[in-house]
Amino acid sequence: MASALKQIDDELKKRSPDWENLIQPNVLILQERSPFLLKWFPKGSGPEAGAKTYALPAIWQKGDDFAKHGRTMMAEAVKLSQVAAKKDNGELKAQVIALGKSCKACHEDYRSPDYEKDAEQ
Amino acid sequence: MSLLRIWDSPTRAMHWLLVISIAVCWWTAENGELEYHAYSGYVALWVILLRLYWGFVGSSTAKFVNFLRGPRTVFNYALTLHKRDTAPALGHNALGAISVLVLLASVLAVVVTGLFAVDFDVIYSGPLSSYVDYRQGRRIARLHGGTLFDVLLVIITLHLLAVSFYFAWKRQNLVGAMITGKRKGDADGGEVQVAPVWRLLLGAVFVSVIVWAVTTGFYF
Repeated sequence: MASALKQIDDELKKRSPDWENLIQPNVLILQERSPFLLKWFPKGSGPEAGAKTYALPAIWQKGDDFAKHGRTMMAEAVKLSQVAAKKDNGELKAQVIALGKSCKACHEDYRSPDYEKDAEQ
Repeated sequence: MSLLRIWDSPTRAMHWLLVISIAVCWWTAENGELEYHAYSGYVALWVILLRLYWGFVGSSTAKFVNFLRGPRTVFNYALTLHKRDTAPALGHNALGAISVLVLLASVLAVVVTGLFAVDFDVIYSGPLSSYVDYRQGRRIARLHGGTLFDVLLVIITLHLLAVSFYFAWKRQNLVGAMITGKRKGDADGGEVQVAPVWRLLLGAVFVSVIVWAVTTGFYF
């Protein structure tokens, strides 16, 4: 999803972005996948399940807060597709940042900082 | 003994502007102010590029050709380091010359990787990040803020230690000279020959255009 968001961000740096082929498909990916997030960490799949995960235990302990952030992110993804339909560079750029911030909100509190370090190896 | 001019004002201004821009880059990175981090990074890039230009066409003590020395000279100079009463160089000494090159190179490495760096959540990415993919950009970002910045901090620390050593051991005030441009000494070694202002302005315009082009990601 980060890669999809980046491709939109890349395209918006250009004077005349390719809305049909590069922005819209990535907007669609983000909108379609955003609802999955809240299904990825069901009750019982936490530390007690013993599986190796970079999700911090707080996801299960503070499930309400996590779900609230998740719904915000879904709303921002929906808004992204609405804004993208207007084909306005500046407005979409602002919404890319808004969506990115909603991603970051969870990544800061609910994801282990080791995530990228290990992904590297 | 009289006061000798050894550094021209552009070289001194660039030195302190680089210090300030690196400090601001560091603070903004630590505090998540990535928008201002980018601006201070552009200033650092501008200073580095102008200093490189000045190293070719600038005043005598700023020119690489006048202060870079071969390995033998550097080695012989290093052998005299322990002596307290060696005559100060007109500009950079043979070892200091290496320090200048290494500092410039490491700042440049940090700044250039920053241009391609990608933010994990794609909120703030470097102006050239569209030329790499997400994974490459993340790798570059970690290099930028990790290894390369750590190396830069080590080199800056060595630089500060060397300046302190010259002050404490050799009684040479290098910081004062970098502020006023002057040091005490006999004029028989000569003074800095200052390059004309138009040459500096030409370089400043040229470098500004390059930095501006970089900030647009070369999408004109």
